[in-house]
Amino acid sequence: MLQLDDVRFGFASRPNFLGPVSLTVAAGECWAIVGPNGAGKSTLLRLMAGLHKPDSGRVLLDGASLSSLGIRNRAKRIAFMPQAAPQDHDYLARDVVLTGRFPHRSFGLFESLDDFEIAERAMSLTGTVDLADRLVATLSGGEAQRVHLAAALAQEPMLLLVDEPTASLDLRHQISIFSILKETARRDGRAVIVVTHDVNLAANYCTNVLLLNEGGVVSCGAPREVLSPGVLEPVYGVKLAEARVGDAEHRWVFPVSDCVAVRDDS
Amino acid sequence: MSDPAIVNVGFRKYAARLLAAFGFLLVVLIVSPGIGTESSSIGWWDAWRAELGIPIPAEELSGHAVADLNGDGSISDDERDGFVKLARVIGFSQRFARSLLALQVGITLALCGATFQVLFRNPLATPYTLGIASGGSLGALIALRVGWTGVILGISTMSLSAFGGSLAVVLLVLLIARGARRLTSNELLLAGVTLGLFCSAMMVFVTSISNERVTFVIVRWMMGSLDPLRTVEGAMLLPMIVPSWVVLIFVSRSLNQYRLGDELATSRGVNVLALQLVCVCVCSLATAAIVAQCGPVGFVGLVVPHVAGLLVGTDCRVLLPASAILGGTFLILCDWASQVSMRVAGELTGRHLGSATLPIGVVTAIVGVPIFLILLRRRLGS
Repeated sequence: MLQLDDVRFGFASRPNFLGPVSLTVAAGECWAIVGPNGAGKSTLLRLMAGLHKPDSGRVLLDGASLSSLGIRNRAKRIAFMPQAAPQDHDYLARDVVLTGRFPHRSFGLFESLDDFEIAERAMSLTGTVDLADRLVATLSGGEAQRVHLAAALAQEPMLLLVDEPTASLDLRHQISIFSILKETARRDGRAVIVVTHDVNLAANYCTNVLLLNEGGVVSCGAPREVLSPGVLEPVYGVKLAEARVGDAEHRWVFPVSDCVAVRDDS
Repeated sequence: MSDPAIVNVGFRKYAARLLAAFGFLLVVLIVSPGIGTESSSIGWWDAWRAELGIPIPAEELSGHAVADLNGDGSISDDERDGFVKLARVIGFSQRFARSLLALQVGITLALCGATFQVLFRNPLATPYTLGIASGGSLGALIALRVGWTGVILGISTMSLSAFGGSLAVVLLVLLIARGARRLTSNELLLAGVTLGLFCSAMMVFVTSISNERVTFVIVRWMMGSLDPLRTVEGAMLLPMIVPSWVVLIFVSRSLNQYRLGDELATSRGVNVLALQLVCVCVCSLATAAIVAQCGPVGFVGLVVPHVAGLLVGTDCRVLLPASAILGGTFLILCDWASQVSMRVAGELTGRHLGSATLPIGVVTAIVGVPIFLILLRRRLGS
């Protein structure tokens, strides 16, 4: 579905910041992009969303390059959920969800009944039906995040890109967000790509993991291979331990002490 | 439903308020042929009947100060015809035309103000606070000073010159914006304010090098006026402002996305840069046309959108029409106040108070500033 061919990108202040990155995302897959702060995770996600243009290389959606798609057609297929929630809170939750229908309406100022139905479905998927008539400003962080996720789902994208959806959320909301993402990929046959700091959530809910460091790909593959202490320790510079919980397939990874550099380990 | 956070669904609730505001505007327009500076007692009902050709019974006019010219207490056919003519001239050629002009100006200023507040994500942003109106004023003033006051293709040269001035300020602001890469930064607002102050200073300069006659014209113009008789013969305002109304209402959907942030709007298919450029240019054109025609009329674009927001919420698809309706109504009411206030004050003090009409900019400031300060106070309180 989404294909990155040798993509490189840099900012004016940091040329050659990111890349080269090559990968192929198929329908039904749920990808996690992990890595330390400043590794280029969000930048890569923006490249996939078409918000940045690659300096070289190609980003292809179903074989067509993103820039040739046109901004409206791209929006019909790719939904992007930024990390920072919108500042403007003077909206009802339902209205926020309805804004996701924007790319699908060419004419007419107001939403059709279909749009309302689709928004309703997106809200029931994210468990936000009861919040529909509340002002977003009055919602808790987790509730607001689920409302914004519902808006992205109402956009009915083939590809859903989510930037750190669980930052500053409590444990229950973290899990609920990731289960929604996993279900979206598994049941609806959409591709989901999520940037996250939580390697354990990524391991438990995602089918593929991309590990970035300093703008380069360190490792890419199944969670079990990528998210092991052996791979992660040199990237994060901390000593990690892993533990098996119950009969779960994945072993949980956690730091064993504060900022103990692996290389200093004696 | 005691939770204040729970409000009725979307704009269905606001549609009723929008209709109510529109109904009020209609009432104001219907009454407007009856209100003006002249103390002559031509009522709106008489004016409408005269305009629509509905005969006015002679008995109704007997003893009427205006109709009964020879004062014999009875109305001859000549006297009745004369009254009908007078009612049409005063009621429609003057009073109603004035209100229509106020309506157009109010709609345009309020729409542009609301758009700028969304566009710059700043409740203080209007074409006035950003110096665009000042640039337009300077342009119009220079046209006035060099005597370039004609009509080209139905558009007054002062409007064109004003548009040139506005565009110059917009280009400078955008040039600064290119460095900042964002249209929302406070620095940009400051740049606009500074450019506006510069234009004001240059207006003083142009005035200072003018002779007495031109200075008088300039000062009168800068006071702002909605007198339809003052307009340049054959010049049209509507072709310059109606397209802006259509465009702004049309992009209101995209403005809703824009409010959610640049990135989200882009990912939803809004070309953010194009949206910003279109809105700024369209608003500049419309503001320039208004400024050239009526002089600077402040505070409408600043105050009206806030009041509209209280009334109908922040969905741009409802907020923009609501601002337009309220802006039109607001300016008609201010115009009434400007015409009536001096007469009333004169009658109260028993003295003749000079000019029969207050400059419209003075009235909008007197009414608008307290409203804005109250809103500001409430905002600080919450």
